[in-house]
Amino acid sequence: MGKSYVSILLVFFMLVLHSMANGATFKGEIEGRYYNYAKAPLFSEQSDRQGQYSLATTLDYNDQINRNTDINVSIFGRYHPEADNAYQGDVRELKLSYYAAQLEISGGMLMERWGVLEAFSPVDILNPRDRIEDFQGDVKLGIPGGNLSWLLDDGRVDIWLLPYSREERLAEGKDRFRTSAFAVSDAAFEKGQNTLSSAMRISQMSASVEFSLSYYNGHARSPYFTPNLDGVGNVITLQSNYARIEQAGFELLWVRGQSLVKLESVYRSTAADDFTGLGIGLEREFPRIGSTRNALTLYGEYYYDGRKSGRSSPLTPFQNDIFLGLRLALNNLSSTEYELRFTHDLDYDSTFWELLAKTRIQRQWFIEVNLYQFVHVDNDPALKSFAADSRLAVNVTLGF
Amino acid sequence: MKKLSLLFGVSLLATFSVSADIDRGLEIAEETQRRDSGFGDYAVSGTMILEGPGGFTSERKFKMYTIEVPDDGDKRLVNFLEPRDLAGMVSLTYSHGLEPDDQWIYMPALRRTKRLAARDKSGSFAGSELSFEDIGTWEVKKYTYKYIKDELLDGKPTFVVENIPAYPYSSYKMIKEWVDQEIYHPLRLLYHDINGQPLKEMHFYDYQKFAGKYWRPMKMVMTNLKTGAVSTIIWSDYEFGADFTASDLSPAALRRWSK
Repeated sequence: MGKSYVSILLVFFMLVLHSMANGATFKGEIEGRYYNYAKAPLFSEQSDRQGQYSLATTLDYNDQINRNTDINVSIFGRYHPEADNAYQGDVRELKLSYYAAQLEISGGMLMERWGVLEAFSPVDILNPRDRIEDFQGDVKLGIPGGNLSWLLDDGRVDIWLLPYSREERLAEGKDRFRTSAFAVSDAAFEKGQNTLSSAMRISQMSASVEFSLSYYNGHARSPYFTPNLDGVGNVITLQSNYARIEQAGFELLWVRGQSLVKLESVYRSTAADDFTGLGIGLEREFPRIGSTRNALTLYGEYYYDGRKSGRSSPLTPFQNDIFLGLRLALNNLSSTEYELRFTHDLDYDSTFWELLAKTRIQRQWFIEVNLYQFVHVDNDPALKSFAADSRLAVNVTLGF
Repeated sequence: MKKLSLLFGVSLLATFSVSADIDRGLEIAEETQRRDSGFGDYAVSGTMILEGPGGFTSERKFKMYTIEVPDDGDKRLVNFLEPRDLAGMVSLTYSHGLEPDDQWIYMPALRRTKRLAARDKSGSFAGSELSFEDIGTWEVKKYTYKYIKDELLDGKPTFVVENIPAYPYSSYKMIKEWVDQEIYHPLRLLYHDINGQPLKEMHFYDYQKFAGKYWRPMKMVMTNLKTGAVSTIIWSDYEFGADFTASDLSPAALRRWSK
């Protein structure tokens, strides 16, 4: 385990001791996960162990220092002996916030989420993704910076200054869910990793409509790759490159009866090219099915990404895709939920299925079963490297 | 002709009687509102114990914050503290009399504030026998009223009133209410489903007065009459006048509440 992880843990346990003394909130989770892969891996370096396990923890600390000031810390770590780096961790949030009337000022390691869509948010740009934890990008890495917010009765205005750009965390070597057969060399940032990035977002709502406008100027959060060649033209490694971008985003959410109509759109400009991305969606909720307490939510979304294949095109799984989802919450004493998600690429006819079931088995114990299934992905540039990564995962979690 | 006059007279009396019962029902509701208005805001801690038909139990803890909005429905925020998988989840509801409520939920794992479509309020509140309609703030205009009779309930004199939902998407046909004649707060609610059949009942216990004026129950018990499942809420630590602002209870501020 690296010295940085030890330092993080030491600082965190000092905070825990402090929380015990002054009544701050401390909570955490310890998770044991078992993975079973149906097929042998695609790349020779990848671990070929069919059954794998890992142990992870998430620790959250919140201290209300006074009525106007609080501190939030969230750290994560995982031990996975079959991974390329057996120990992975991140400070997802370490934020000191000051509230003055309708102003909020925060600084430290920030975690933000923009967007209204379910499967993927094209507008969500501030934090890089942890694609080892989740290849779909739902899990993100903390980003250092400051945030000034002006809270209105019906909206908010936010400004972020981010002095440092982090790399996306990608699966490599022994890891499953690798995006390429080649190793990825150190990242290159177009304007240098310490160049300031900035963002602004204005959100407004009325009774049935919410919308946001955003602007980001900084390094892309996903890289594009260029090959590093040997003397005879063979690829040795891939260079990950983070282009400087400007991105304007628009989000719209419209409440129509028991349905939500959603739209996200981005226009991104780089030195190499410009493109438009779009996602539209419909969500319908049935809060009670018949005489039961079961609630059903249905999702339908379509995504378009206008990037042409080329130097500046990171692999994106949402270029001309539909997503359909179903979530069934039993609303029973154990908070049991089932979820089925289906993503289909209309260009390559590839499909990704995800099935999720979770329930509470004791007051503080939870179990979650998660199945990934890739179908006909061999021709899909974004998914073909996951062709052998269909798997079942079972998580048992203790919350405290 | 005599018979016809008599029939007309009886019909007229019945009409006056029904009209008088409706007026009386509305008077009771307006008096309830008058006595409880002006609180500004309050916070309260809740422990909800869910009992399934097999005796299996589960517990949720939460803190609830309410801001009074004089010309509209109130704003209510619920911050879940336990069990562990619900801890940090925050829900916010802007109640609007006869219009669908506005509702948001903050999900701490995703750090995401999500808007919910809340026209249909029949969904279960945190897996309990209470629906979002049941935990919503009460307002006079949400119902029409019909006074039925005076009745003793557990030795206390009550007005029995039928509340007929005016909200077109209500999951109830009628809610029969036993209103304490001394404090003008409900002691019992009997919910009838959309077919008019008794569905569940709520009992209120141990009302106490706060800030010198406002009565609040320390315990509420909801029983599903069809399944026998019971949800009990124990209330504690009522705090009136905490001076929350509208922006404190706004979707933009939900993340701040999540602990």
